[in-house]
Amino acid sequence: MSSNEQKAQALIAEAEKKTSSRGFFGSLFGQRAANLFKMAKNWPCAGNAFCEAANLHLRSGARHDAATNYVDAANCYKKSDINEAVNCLLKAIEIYTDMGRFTMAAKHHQTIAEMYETDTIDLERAVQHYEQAADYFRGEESNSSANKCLLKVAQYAAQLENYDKAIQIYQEVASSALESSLLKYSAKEYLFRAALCHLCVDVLNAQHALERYIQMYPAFQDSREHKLIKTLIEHIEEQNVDGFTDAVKDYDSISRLDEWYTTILLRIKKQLNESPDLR
Amino acid sequence: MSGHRYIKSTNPFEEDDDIDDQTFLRNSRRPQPMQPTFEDQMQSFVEKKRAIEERTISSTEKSIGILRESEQIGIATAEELSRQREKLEKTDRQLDEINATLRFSQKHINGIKSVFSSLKNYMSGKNDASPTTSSSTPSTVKQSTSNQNLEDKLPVYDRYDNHPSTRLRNNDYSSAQEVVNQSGSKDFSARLDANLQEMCSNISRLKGLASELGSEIETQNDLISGIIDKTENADMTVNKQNKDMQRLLKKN
Repeated sequence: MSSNEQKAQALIAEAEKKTSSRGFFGSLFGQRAANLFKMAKNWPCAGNAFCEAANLHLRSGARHDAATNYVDAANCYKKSDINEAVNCLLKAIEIYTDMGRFTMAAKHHQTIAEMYETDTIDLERAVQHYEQAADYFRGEESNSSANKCLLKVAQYAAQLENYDKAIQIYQEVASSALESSLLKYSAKEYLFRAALCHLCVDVLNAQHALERYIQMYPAFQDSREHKLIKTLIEHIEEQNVDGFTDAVKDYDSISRLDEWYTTILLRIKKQLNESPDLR
Repeated sequence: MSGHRYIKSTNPFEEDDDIDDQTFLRNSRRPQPMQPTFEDQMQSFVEKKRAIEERTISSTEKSIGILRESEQIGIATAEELSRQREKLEKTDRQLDEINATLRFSQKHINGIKSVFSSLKNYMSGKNDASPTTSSSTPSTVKQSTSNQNLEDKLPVYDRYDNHPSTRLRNNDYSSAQEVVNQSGSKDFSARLDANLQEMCSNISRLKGLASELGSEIETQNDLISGIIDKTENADMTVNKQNKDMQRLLKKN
């Protein structure tokens, strides 16, 4: 079989590499072996080979090449063992931050966070990595990339019931969006999300916040989102669950509400059902 | 109740199964064995009218939904474009640094080559300018003109928008015999008005967004061509310096 042949070739290359003591050529062979494993779709071995190559590069002082090899290793491990992939990426990030290449470090934090987001659902770690990525991006003045990561942080923070953080982030991003003529159209969605998070916490706060948002962005008042929030506040004050559901269904028939919105709205509705009439 | 349609089907999203009143009546009359009374006729007309009104309202709502989706897509595109712009500007700055570094290294190579060129270096070293960062050209002038066009076009659009609903209102008032349906059609035209107004504002927002996206892409195109030039320069310089170094090393 051709793949066996390639494996054999790869193993021979590995053996050659182990006997040669000159670090640079050793890592070249390690890389060749890894590429052959990749062709044979033997992901764990490819990952291992890339890691070996990275170690050799580190020993010979070529840090940049080592970091690239770690990233390649992580790509191979992604298909089999997520934790190994994360480890390799963390090592790569260490090297990049050492060298001062924070943009690359931020991008890899983003990759790790995406892995935690989709492959293994670990929202807390995903939030951590997105936050770290946002900090690094902001340090490098890449505000749009920072905002993208921050929005994910806010989304998952709200899902994990950390509403204050979510509200703060959404408000911040909305006010910076309003300053750009291109991005100002996205401000109303962020203000809508912030208002919904306010509703999860306290209705009175939500009303004050809504007034502040209208002052910040007058056009928000005419939007469908604002009408929905106002109706929801009314129904919450009257403890009218059916009215609440109807308003949401009405809005949903015009523009679909995705999973995040339905989760938050369900939570608000549950609060409505549970809370006794305090008035 | 006459042969003309209530609503002109210029709406592309409206379902195409609207048939003329007369043909509908002609077809519905055949299976009825007895002579249809005036009240029955009225009933069928009223029901038909209500069905048309419902369809109209629902198709306007569908249109509004589609407009909002388009706006969301436009917004996502805008955010992606701003991220791209940041990366392009960063690439631009780094290329400037690369080119400046290459000039320094060129000087060193010249120094190694011969005594005469090192003298030349010393002279030009006095006028050495530090690497300047590229200034991003603000496109605010272009954006203000596009906004002007938008504001000029908006009033025109409003006047056009009023036409379909006024035509409807005229039709309703002309058929004043149906006193009982007067309030129903007012409610309908009010809802239709509101929906059309919303569609109008959505469409004008989309237009603003689209022209912004257009001007952003144009400025990014300029950025990209600048980057291409700088990259080519850097490429040529690196190749030339490599060759110089090879020659120098061979001499030794």
